[in-house]
Amino acid sequence: MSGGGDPKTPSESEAYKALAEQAGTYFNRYQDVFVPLENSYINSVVDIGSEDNYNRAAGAAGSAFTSAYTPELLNQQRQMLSQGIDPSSGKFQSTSQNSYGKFGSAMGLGIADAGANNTDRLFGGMTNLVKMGQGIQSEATQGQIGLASASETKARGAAETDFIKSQSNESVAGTAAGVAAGYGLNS
Amino acid sequence: MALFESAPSNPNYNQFLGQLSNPNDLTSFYGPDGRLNNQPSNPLDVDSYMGDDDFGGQRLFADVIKRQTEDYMKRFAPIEGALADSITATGTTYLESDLDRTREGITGGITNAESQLSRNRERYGATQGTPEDLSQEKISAMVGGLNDTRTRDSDRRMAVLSGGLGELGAKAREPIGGTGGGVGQG
Repeated sequence: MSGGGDPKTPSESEAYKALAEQAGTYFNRYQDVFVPLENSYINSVVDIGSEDNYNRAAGAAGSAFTSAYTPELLNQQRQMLSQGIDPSSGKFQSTSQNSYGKFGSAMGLGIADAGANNTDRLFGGMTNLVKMGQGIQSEATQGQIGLASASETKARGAAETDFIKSQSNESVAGTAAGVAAGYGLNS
Repeated sequence: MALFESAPSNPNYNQFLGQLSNPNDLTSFYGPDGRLNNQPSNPLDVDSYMGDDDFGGQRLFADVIKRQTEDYMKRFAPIEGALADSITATGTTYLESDLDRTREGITGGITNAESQLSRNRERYGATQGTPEDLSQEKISAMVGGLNDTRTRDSDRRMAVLSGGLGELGAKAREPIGGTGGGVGQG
């Protein structure tokens, strides 16, 4: 501070007042423009933890796994039928049971994963808010679309892996069946 | 779980910041469902500070800092409190609900698969044989799923403890506080 006048009660410089005015103006502008946006984001983060949001995440994951596995399961059964394997035979039933077991496990784990992912999102959002409040905001959250896409990718990957294994087992089984038929052992 | 139920009532979560604002304001700012009550904030009347020689600039600066601190305490400190209170000795308070969802998800997935398997057998007229039983697959998936869920919760705890609570400690030690969204600081 500088300026003339009584040294016991010095007045403020124009520059100091201008800085204070700027700070006040910025604060008002922050309240008008940015606080509503921040509040909207805070509410969005709080909503991540809602039961509806968890249900949506689980539903999306379940759908992704159903979409990935159902065509493969049906295809496998068609192949067994085309190979003359009786649907009531132990071979048909055990193969189906094995594949549907993989499907059920994969879907269950996928749904569980979607729930944990949603909790991770909530924590990421809260961490972001903490940093926002402290002026060190960073990108820590992943959007719902990103998570849905991750579920689909996992479902496709799991179905491909399971059915590549299954197909190779099926080839062996088919070959064995063919050999057995050749020897007149397959009634 | 109400996200912020513990933050305003926890006297220990941040004594330093707790002295700067009335904790009762927090409960009025966040509703019982954890969502913000959008209370309008009165703007600072900047011009009223400028027209006198009585340290208007200093008073304006002081009021900006007070308002920033109040804003921070109302909107962000409860979230810090909720995040800090979620930490347990081994994980977070979200573990039990995540474990429940894992159990429900795996049970639902296996039940769904058993139903589809049953329908397919009926479609092919294969009504003989043992009923569909994927209990072994369920046990296997359940063990793996619950272990994964616990591990992820433990990871979450570590993520919060190793930086998720921000840099308030360092900022609080600075001569001028760094709260309030980075406006008008310095």
